[in-house]
Amino acid sequence: MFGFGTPDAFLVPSVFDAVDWGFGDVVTEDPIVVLDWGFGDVPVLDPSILLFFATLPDDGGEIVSVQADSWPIVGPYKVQLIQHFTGQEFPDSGVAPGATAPLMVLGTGKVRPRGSPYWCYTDIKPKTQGDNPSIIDPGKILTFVLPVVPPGLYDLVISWGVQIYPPPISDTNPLILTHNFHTAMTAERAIRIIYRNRSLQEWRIRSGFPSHYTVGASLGSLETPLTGPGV
Amino acid sequence: MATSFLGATALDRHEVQLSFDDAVSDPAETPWVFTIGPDASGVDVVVADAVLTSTVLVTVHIETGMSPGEAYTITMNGFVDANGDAIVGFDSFVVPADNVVDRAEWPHGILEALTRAFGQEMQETGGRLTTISTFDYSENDTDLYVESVLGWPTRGAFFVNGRRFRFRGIGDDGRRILNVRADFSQEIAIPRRSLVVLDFTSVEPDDFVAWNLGALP
Repeated sequence: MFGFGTPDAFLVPSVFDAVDWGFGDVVTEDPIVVLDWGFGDVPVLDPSILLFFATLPDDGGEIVSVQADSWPIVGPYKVQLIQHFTGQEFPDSGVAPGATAPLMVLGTGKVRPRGSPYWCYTDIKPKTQGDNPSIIDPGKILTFVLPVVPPGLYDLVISWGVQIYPPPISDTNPLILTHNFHTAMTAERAIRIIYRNRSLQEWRIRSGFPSHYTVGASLGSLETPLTGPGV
Repeated sequence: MATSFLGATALDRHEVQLSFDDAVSDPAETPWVFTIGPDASGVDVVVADAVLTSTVLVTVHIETGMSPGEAYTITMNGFVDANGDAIVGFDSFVVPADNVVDRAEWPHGILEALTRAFGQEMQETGGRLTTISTFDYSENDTDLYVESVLGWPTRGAFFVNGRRFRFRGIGDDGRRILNVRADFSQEIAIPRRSLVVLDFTSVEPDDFVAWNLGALP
């Protein structure tokens, strides 16, 4: 929704373009203009339509899919886990801006280049009758890679958004856009992290390596208990 | 006037410290009764022993451990002070999430990570979910405490040292197998740090809990 007064011709190749977003759209001489879609604009993503509650392992690495009826943009999104009771961030925002995105492979078999490993994207919506073929619409699934997090209950914070920098007056280029992720949505208690499983096969594989290789415990009895000392 | 309960603080996953405004009774003389349960997943009374740290401080030892990063509530229930008056009240606390590895990348060495990844992949394809028991299970217990029930079905059977056990549930906290009983009426204890392997043939497809978002419809 672009807000009351938005031109309805939808001459909008993408949501990032410099267009009139309607009554209330911010027009300012401030060199940094925060994208505001005008009066009545609301974040497209409604938390109530997020369809998940998941239990995941503490050692990370899982590719997590977040399904919604619609996402506002294809991306990039920033995804962060917040400990529900303590408010602690994972990953720590001082270390990394968010969870990493899974690698995407092109049809040619090559890994798709990306602007940042922390920018996550949705899938692409298949075209249906009436869709503008020149617009890439977001699909329903946003994916990210679960970071290493201790067991507990976590809120999922997904943020997105851009800033527009007007070009110099003499410049005919379009507005300069940067991603500032100023719009955020929180899904509370979305993810429960518990300890990982063990694996018999893991120990068998390790026992095949020379002993001076650092492969970790080769027997279950040699493993460090996950639940801490005294167990 | 009875002593007041001021609050509870979790020191780690096994220790909770209770504070009072006046002297409490000695646990050696008067049994202490209270319940501790996680806020998020219903009532869960765990085995607890208490030690008098000082006259106004009590350290409670939770033998089975609590889940790190979870909120718990402790409720006084028949707890008495030094004069024999009942102390009532409750308090919530959050268990510290210790042993936190907060790194953007995989925390293990490259070979260890590879062998773990191979092992976990083979485990998933082979359907042999494995965990380790964290608390002694005796013949009359109903719940078996383990490191993880990640991906376990809600009912089925498992093996420990070649013995087969049936179970009828998994704990919401991810650390317990519920309603355990030995197969063939064998009454057998399970010591802590035993390998617990799911009997995959005992599981009906509907009994698995979707644990990855991609598995949801």
